[in-house]
Amino acid sequence: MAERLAGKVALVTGGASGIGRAAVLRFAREGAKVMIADRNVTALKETLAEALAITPDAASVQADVSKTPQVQAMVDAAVARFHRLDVLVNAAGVLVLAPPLAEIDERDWDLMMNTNLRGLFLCCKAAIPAMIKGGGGSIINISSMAGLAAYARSLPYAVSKAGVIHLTLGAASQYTSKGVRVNCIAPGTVDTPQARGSSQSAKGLEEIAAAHPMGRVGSPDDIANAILYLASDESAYVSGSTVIVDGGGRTLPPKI
Amino acid sequence: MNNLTEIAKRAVEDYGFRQIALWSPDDLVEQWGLSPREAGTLKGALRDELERLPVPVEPRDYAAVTDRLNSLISGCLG
Amino acid sequence: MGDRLAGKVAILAGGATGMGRTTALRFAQEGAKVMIADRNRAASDETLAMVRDITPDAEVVAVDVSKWGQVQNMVDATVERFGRVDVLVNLAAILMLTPPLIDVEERQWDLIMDTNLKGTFFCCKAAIPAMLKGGGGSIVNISSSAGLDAWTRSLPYNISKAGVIHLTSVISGQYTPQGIRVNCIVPGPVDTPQARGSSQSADLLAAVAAEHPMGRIGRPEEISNAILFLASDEASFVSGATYVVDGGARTSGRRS
Repeated sequence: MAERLAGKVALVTGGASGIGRAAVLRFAREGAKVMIADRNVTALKETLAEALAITPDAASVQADVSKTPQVQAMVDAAVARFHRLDVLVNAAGVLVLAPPLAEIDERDWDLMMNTNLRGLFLCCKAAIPAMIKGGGGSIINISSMAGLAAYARSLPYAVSKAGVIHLTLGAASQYTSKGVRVNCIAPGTVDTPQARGSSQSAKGLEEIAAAHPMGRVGSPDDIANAILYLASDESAYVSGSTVIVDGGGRTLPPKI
Repeated sequence: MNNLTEIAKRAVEDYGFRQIALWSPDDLVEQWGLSPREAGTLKGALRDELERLPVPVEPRDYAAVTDRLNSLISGCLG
Repeated sequence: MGDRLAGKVAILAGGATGMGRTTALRFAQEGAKVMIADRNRAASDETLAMVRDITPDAEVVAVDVSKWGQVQNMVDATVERFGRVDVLVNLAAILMLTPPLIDVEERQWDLIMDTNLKGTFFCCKAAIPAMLKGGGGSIVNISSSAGLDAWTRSLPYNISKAGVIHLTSVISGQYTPQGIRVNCIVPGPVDTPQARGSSQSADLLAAVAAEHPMGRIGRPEEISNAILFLASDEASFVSGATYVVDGGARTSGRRS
């Protein structure tokens, strides 16, 4: 069976854990060369080892996407190692729980905006020239259903993720004609370390799963499947789209 | 409550915040105006403890874990 | 050749031409058993011959999706031939150009609504019980960017395609808990016989391509790629979603 990303070079931010990690491993199995970027060096080492068990063409770089020099160094490292850049997956994100708006700590707002939105902007800004140099590419931004609907547990997170959706539209309008496709995925609740951690209790995810139309929350692999589609040439005619992967959670009728 | 005990409490109760303390501690040093000694504790002894915490910490354990971290912080800051 | 639909039984309503034909071929290449359902017998037989070059597990059934008895027969014939129904793709649609609202003839409205919206409703209504019997399934409805954006050349077509999007959401809310995923694709301009016919001139189609951010309109195979993703188990956590496949046309500010 043909590999769906054969020969492509991919950079995955937030690639050490959760959705990013699932994308890294899926990409490796589909023939891609993968640069894994994360600020968590411990998890980075583990995920790199897993990727190297699949392909020799995997490497890692420590990067905090909210820091401009680190972002440029990250893109440079990918190009230095693999000589081009075809795919960028922006999976790096932080979720800090927040009280209602009037009590939100300004510092928390900055933390989430700096990583989730400003960091994603910086990654696109650094990657697009490298992609254009190679004749084009595909960017996949990971937003969230929290960016489409009200999310009371963290307004800054929701706003940053809504910004990601709109950044996707704008970037697509500017770079599709230059061969760079830009799309976005809005996952519902997914069983990641982040979701487990911020559910504040082991029961938290179980309760969400019980109320979900599919009786479960998403797995990181569910999201990686959509990322693979958008990264591959199968989606050659897809740009500017926001793709929901929430198991139908949004369509569950309100209980009134 | 001093800055560091507040950061520790939040890192116990909120995994997202804990990740920032673990992996972008300099952001917190700057935002919270931590002294060099506080910063050293955040990136040293406190960090080691935070990395060992379960994900998530169950609410019934908040008080015990926070107490333990507070003793550690007092020990470090004297 | 792949196996992304290995063993699955798929009904393609409107499967004889355009995106229906490319989808029939792609599904066969991925291991599906294919029922080509169309009212165009000659084109159905042509497509069947092409599919039979790939797999013996292909059949045709004549159907006008606006007639309940024929739709029921389409599902019965599929179950009789292949034993089950796993996938339904609703591609059958007509597009007639109409004057502005006050001059739209009632029968134009009825013809378009009966095929595009009532036909989709009928196909879902007939297929869902067969899918439930087999433990679940996946429905992929084909809408159009005319269902999202105002497009002045055919009001009834616009409304019928907007209806398909909302039908998708509501059915997902009702049947996702029972194992049936329901999703929708919104294609932008695609080079099909339908599009060539209704553009009224090759020049007009060329103008649409020239203004498109990709400098071209879509190929039907590119819509089939998205249909394949949603039909397959790779999209097992996707339901109630509407995926735009328009090459970024909606982000360009020039909506054709």
